[in-house]
Amino acid sequence: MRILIYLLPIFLFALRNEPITPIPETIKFDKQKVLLGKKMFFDTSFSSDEKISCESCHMPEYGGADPRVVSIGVYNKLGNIQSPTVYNSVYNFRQFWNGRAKNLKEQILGPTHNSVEMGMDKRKIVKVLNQKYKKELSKIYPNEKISFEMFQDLVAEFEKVLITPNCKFDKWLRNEVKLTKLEVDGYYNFKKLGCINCHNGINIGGNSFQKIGVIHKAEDRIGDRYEFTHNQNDKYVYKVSTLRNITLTAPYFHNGITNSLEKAINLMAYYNLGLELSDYQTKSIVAFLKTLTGDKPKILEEK
Amino acid sequence: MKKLIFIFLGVFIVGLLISFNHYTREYFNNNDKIIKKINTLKQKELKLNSEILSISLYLYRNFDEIVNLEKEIDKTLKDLENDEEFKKHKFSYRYFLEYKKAILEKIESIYRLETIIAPLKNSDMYIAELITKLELKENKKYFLNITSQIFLAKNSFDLTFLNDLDKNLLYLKNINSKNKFYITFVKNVELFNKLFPEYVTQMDRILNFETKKELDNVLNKFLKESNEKLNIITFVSVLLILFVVVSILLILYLFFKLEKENQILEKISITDNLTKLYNRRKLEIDIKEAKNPVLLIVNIDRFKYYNDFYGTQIGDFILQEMAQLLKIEFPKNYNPSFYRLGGDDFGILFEYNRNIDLESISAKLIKNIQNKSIKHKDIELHISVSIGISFIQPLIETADIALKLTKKNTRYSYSIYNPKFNEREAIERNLINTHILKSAIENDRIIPYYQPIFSNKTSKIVKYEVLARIIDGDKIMSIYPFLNIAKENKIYKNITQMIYKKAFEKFKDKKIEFSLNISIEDIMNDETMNFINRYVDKYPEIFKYITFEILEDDAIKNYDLLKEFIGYMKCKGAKIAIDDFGSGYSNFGHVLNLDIDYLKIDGSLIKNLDNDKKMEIIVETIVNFANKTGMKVIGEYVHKKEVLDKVKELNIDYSQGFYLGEPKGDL
Repeated sequence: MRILIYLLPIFLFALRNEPITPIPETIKFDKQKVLLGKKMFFDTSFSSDEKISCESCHMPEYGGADPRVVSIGVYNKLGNIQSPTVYNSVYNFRQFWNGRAKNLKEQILGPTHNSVEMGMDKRKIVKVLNQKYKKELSKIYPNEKISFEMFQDLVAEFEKVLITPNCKFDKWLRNEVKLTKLEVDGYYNFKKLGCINCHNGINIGGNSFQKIGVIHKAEDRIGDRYEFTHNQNDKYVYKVSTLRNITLTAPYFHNGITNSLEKAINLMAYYNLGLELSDYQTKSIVAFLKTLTGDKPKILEEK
Repeated sequence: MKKLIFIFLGVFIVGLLISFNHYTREYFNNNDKIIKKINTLKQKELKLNSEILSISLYLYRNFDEIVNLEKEIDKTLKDLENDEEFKKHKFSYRYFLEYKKAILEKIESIYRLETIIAPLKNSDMYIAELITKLELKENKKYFLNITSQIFLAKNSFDLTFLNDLDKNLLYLKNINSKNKFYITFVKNVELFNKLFPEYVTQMDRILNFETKKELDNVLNKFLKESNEKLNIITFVSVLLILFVVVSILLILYLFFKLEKENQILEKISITDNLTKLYNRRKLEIDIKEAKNPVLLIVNIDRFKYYNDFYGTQIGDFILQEMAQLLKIEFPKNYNPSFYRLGGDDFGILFEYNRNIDLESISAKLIKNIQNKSIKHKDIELHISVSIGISFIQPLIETADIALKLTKKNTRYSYSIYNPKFNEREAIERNLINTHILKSAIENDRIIPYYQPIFSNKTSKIVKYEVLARIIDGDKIMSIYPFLNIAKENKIYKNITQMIYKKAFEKFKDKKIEFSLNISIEDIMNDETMNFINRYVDKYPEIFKYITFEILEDDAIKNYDLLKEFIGYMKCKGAKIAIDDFGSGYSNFGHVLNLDIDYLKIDGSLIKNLDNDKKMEIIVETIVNFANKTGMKVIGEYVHKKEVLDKVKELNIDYSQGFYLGEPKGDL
C-alpha cells in the first residue's frame, strides 16, 4: 500500500504537461468491419475506370499520403490539391483542407463522387457492393438492405484504425525516452516561435482553421475555406495540417510547393511570422519534427 | 353474468395498474434521460466558456479540448433531437431546436476566434521581442508608445487604447527602413491593429451568446410540459389509492356481512321457524355435547283435534304459545334448552343431577300449563300436556317411548323411561305383522274357519261362526292381533271381503245358518257395502241363514248408518247380533234402539262364570234384559263343562267355545 502511495505521484506526472498529447497505442474497433473496410480501401472497383482505390492517393509507404503534387484520378485526370494523409485523420476536427467534412464518413463522399478522383456515385457503389461484397456484408449487417452507408461505415471504421502511435516524441511525452539536445531545442523553438499556437493537440495540428500568410500574403488559395463558406474572412484559411509523420508525407502545403522540410519550415516562418529563421533554428525544428514519425498502423500488416 | 362482469372488471383494473405502472416508469425514465442530457449540455457549455477564456489567457493552448467538447455537445444534441419522447414536448422541443442552432453557431464562432487569436498572440509576442532587437534612436518614443498601447489594449480588452495606434503606425511606415526587424515589427503591429478589434468583437459575441438562457428556457418549458403529464399521473395515483381504499372497505364490509349471514344461517339451521325454539337438529347436537343430559318430551294432548277443529292457524298459535309457556313455566335454575321436535312435540334438555326431582318438576309443569289458558280472539283454550322423560341414550327415542306410555296410561300425565318398556319390541312386532298381513292378502292366504254354536236346549249345532285365520308359512294364526294393523293400513276391508266371499261360496247351497263378523268400519266402507250388495243380488237365498255379529265400540258415532244397515239386512232375511256384549262400551240404550236378534255375551264375563258370583249377577241381568226385550243370548268362551253347566243354568240360549267345538277349516 505504501509503495502504491509513493508511486502515485509518479503516475500522475508521468505525462508531461505539454500542449501536445500522445496518440493512444490502441483504439477500440470492430475487427470484422475493419478488415472488410480495409479490403474496400484497396479495391479499385470503386472507381469509374476501376483503376483507382482510396489507396491510390493515400499510400501506406508515403505516410498515408500522396508523394505527387496533385493526385491522379480516374482516366488520368489531375486533382487540384495535395492529398493529405489518412493516418491519424480520425483525430482531425474536420476533414479536407478546408474542413468541409465533419468526420471520416462524410469525407468518403468527397473523393468517391469527385469526377477527377474516383468518379462514382452512391448508386454505382451500391452496385459494386452487391456484386462483390454481398456475402461479407450480410454477415456484418444481417437482414439489411445493402446501402452506401455500409461502405461509408466500413471504410471509415478502417481509417479510424490507421493511427501511428509510439513516435519518439510521444514516448518522450510519456517519459519513456529522452530527446537529444537538438530535438529538445527544436521543440523549444517550435513553442517559442509560436508554431505551437496552431500546431497543438493530439495531431499537432488538425484542430483549428488558420490563415496562411498573415504577415506576407500567400501566392494562391486553391481549395481554401472560402470556397466552402464564401465568407470573406475565410480566404487563405485552411485546416491546420498535422505534423505527425511529416517526414513521410512530402510534398508539403496544400499546393505541394516543396518536398524539403527545411524549406517548408522557412516558408511557414516567412508567411505567418514574417521571420527568417537561423540555421540552427531550422535544423533543430527539423530534428524535432523527425521525432513525430510513429509506428506504421498495425492493421496494414494484418490480412 | 354478474360474476363475468366482476372478472372482467378485475382483469381491467389489473391491466390498468400494470399499464399505469409502465407508463409512470417510462415517464420518469424518459424525463430523467432528457433532463440529464439538458444538464450535460449546460455543463459542457460552461466548460466551453472556461476553455475560451483559457485560450485568450495563455500564450499557447491545446485546442483539442474545444474539439472534444464540440464532439460531446454534438452527440448530445443529436440524441435529444432524435428523442421521440422529447419531440412530444412540443414547446420545449421547439426552444431546443433554436438553442441547437445557437450553440452550433457559437462553436463556429469559437473556431473563428481561434483563427484570429493564434496570429494575434504571435504578434504581440513578437512585438515585445522585436523591440529589443531594434536600434531605437529619436523615434524610440513611437515604438515604445505603440508597444505600450498594444499591451494596454490587450490586457484591458479596451479598444480605446488603440486610438493613437494608427497615427503612430503611419509614422513608423514613413520611416521606410530596410531593417528586417523593423519591417517585421511594422507588419506585426499592422496585423495586431487589424485583428485585435475583430478579436474583441468576436470575444464579445461569443461571451454574449444567449445560449445558456435559451437552454434554461428549454429546461423550464420541458419541466412545465412534463408537469402537465405529472398531473395526470398524480390524478390517476390518487384515483388508484382511493380505489384500493374502497376495495379494502368493500372487502371488509362483505366479510362482515358474510360472517353475519353465516351466523343467521347457522341460527336458522338450528331454529324452528314457527316457535323460534331450537329444532331437532340442534337437540341432537346438544345431546352429543351434554355430559349427563335429561330430556323431557312434552306433547300437547289432542293437538290434532284442536288443529282440525279450529284450523291450522290456531294450531300454529297454540304451538307458539306453548313454546312461550314452557319457557316461562319450566324452572330456570336448571339451565334448560327448549326445542320443537316437530308436530306438537317439544323438548326440554338440561343437565341431570341427583338432587333434581324429575317427577315433581314434571307434575308441576303439567299443572301450571293446565292452569294457564291460551287466548286467541274469542277462543280461550285450556291445554293439557303429556310428558315423556328419559336420561338414557338414545335420549330422543327413549323419551318418545316414555311419552307413548304416558299416552296409553290415563292415570299419569308423565312417565320416566325405564329400560323394561318393551315398546321397541312391540314396534318391531308390528312391522313384522304388517308384512305378514300384507303378504297374506296379496297371496289369498286369509281363510275362513268355522266354529259351531250349540243350542243349549237341544245340544245340537244350530249355526257356525265364521272366523278369519291367517296363514303364515305352515302356521295358521288368529287374525285378531292383525286387526289394528289392518285398520291403520286401510286393508281391513280386504280381510272382510276375502272372508265373506269364501263364506258365501261355502254356504251358498248348504242351508245352514252361519254368522259373520262385521265392524262399524265395514258398514261405513262403501266398497264393502257394495260388495255385500252384489251377493244380495247373487245369492239372495243365503241371507236368510246369515247372522251379522256387530262389534259395538266407541267408533260407532253414526247410529243412523248402523240402523240403516240393520234395517236393510233384516228385510233381506238376515239376523243381527251384538258381539262382545258386556265389555267396554256396551250400552243397553243403544241396543234397545236397534232391532237386535241376539246378544253375544263377552267371553270375559263367561269364562269365570263357574266361580265368580259377580259375573253371574251381570250375566243374569243381561239374560233378563234380553228375555224381556225378545232377544236370544249367546254365551262364548265356554271352555269347560262347569262353565257350560252354569250357562245352561242361567238360561242362556246358545253356547260357543272350545269345550263344545274348536274352529275348523271345514264344517
